[in-house]
Amino acid sequence: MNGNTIQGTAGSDGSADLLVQRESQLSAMFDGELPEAECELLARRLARDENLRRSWANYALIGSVLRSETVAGKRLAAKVAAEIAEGDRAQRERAPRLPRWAVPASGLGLAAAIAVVGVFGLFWFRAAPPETVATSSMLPKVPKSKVEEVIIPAMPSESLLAKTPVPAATSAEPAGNGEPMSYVTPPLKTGADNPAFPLAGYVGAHTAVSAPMLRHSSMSAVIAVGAPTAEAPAGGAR
Amino acid sequence: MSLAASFALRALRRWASLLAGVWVMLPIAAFADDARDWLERMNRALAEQSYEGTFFHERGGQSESLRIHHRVKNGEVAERLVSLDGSRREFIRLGEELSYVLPDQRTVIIERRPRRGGPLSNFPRLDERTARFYRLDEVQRTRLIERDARLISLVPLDPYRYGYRVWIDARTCLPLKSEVYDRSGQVLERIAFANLQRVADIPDDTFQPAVSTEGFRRIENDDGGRLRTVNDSAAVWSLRTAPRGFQVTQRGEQTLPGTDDPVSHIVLSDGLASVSVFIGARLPPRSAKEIALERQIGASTAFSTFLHGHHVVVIGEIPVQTARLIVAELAPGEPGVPARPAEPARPGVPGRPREAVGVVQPRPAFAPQGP
Repeated sequence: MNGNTIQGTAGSDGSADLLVQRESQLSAMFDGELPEAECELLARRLARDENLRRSWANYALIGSVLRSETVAGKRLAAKVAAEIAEGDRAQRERAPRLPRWAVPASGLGLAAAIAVVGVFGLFWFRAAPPETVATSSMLPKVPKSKVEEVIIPAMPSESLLAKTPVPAATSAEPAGNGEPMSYVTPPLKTGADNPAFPLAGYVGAHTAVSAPMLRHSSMSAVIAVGAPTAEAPAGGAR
Repeated sequence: MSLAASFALRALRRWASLLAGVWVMLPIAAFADDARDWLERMNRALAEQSYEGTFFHERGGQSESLRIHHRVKNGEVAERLVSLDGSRREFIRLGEELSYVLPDQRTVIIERRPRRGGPLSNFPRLDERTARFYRLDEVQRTRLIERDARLISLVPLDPYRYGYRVWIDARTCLPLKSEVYDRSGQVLERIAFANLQRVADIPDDTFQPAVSTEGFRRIENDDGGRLRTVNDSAAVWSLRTAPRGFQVTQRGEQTLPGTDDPVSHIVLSDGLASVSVFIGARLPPRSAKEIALERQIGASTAFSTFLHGHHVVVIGEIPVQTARLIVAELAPGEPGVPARPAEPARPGVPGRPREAVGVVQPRPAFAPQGP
């Protein structure tokens, strides 16, 4: 996937974009969704980059927190932040001070260990049932399903959401080379001149009779942020 | 040239032109058949397979990510659609019970419906008649997200419907990406899967809401979605004409969550797009407001107005102008008395825009009607 492709090397200026990209790669690797070759590259980079190693540790901690059931009822972010802070403090308190000569050696050892985890962990991740993307892992109560076939294994490349030409609507010619008309989605009609009315019940009833291809559209739009739903319909609410 | 020879020559020319026409039309018909086959396979896959995935829903310049779980087990459909961005709203369908879980409004809307047929029993199908209202281009072989895919393109041939483009996975027939666009070519909505997998089974726990709904306001219909036979002449509405290509496919009565009185539900379809027309009970004059509201819900239009004191709501994958035309042709009627087809002036609309459909006759609720 383009979005996961490792490009170039980490610049000394540490640009935000590059950092975000690395974090994204790390996240994908943790979810077993980074291509094998890129995993190896990332593992090598982990061995050299202390910041990246810290992120790796955080991902591991987040993963363990998510897998446990202790976060129910609390804000996840706050819980994770507290866990990380607590983990760091405990580690500082517990960690025995190494002799000065031992510090470089420990760094090399850690680097080697991470490289091994990166490469061999790949197979472990691949062997595990795909749990899709990190965002889905954030949802509580998503039990594993028995996967028959992974159709799209990872987050989309840029091409997935790329704007593609729309065939001309009025042309009588075949649209094999249809010219794009417009790629701009129109704004929602909202505001005082277009007040909300109860939709969810009507949309629910409509989805029962609409084509499967179009059902996701209506349902998605209703549960999207900001969609009107809960006012009582005319006729009186219970 | 003798008269006989001239006659023979003209006949020969006629046959030649006819043969040429058939020769040209055959590939076009083949395109349409192929595209229709793929659409049918896709609809079957969506309705009959079990799958899970995350997709982006882009509309009105906004993009939202959602996760879907769809399971078909022993003929029973379970579906859960979750917003992953912010609101954590959910849509859960378990059999014939639909629930909207709205944590941001601490509300649950529940609609129960009686059992009806299999997962594909009521879905519209694009047949030879309805396919005339779209131009179905040649199915294109393509690749998307490293999958062998087919691009199906349906171009609207009049202003009453939208156009569609769907990228269908060649192996599983599930859609990888779809677009709905209007006649001017503006993309109204784009749905693109970020990940998708076919699954053998999905655990029951998956279809529980992620948040506890304890203490939430519950809006529901009371008696299992009672669908009643339309036997009250006052409840019989006629649709004098329908937009070209659309015809009534189902109708009946049902109660909706939060309402005491049942609404009449008339369904029209052109084989791909569907339109639901809900007609509520007559309201006291002071409650009925003579205003019309419209809203775009993704690729769907919602249009609400009051007609003869009745609250009328139209929802469908159609332009708002089509919804307005449908409402304009609605009238409370008497069973068995066809209304006079009306043809109000519609500037800018090509000739013979609608087809007469006559009176919606009282029948058992939601009895499918043939074309």
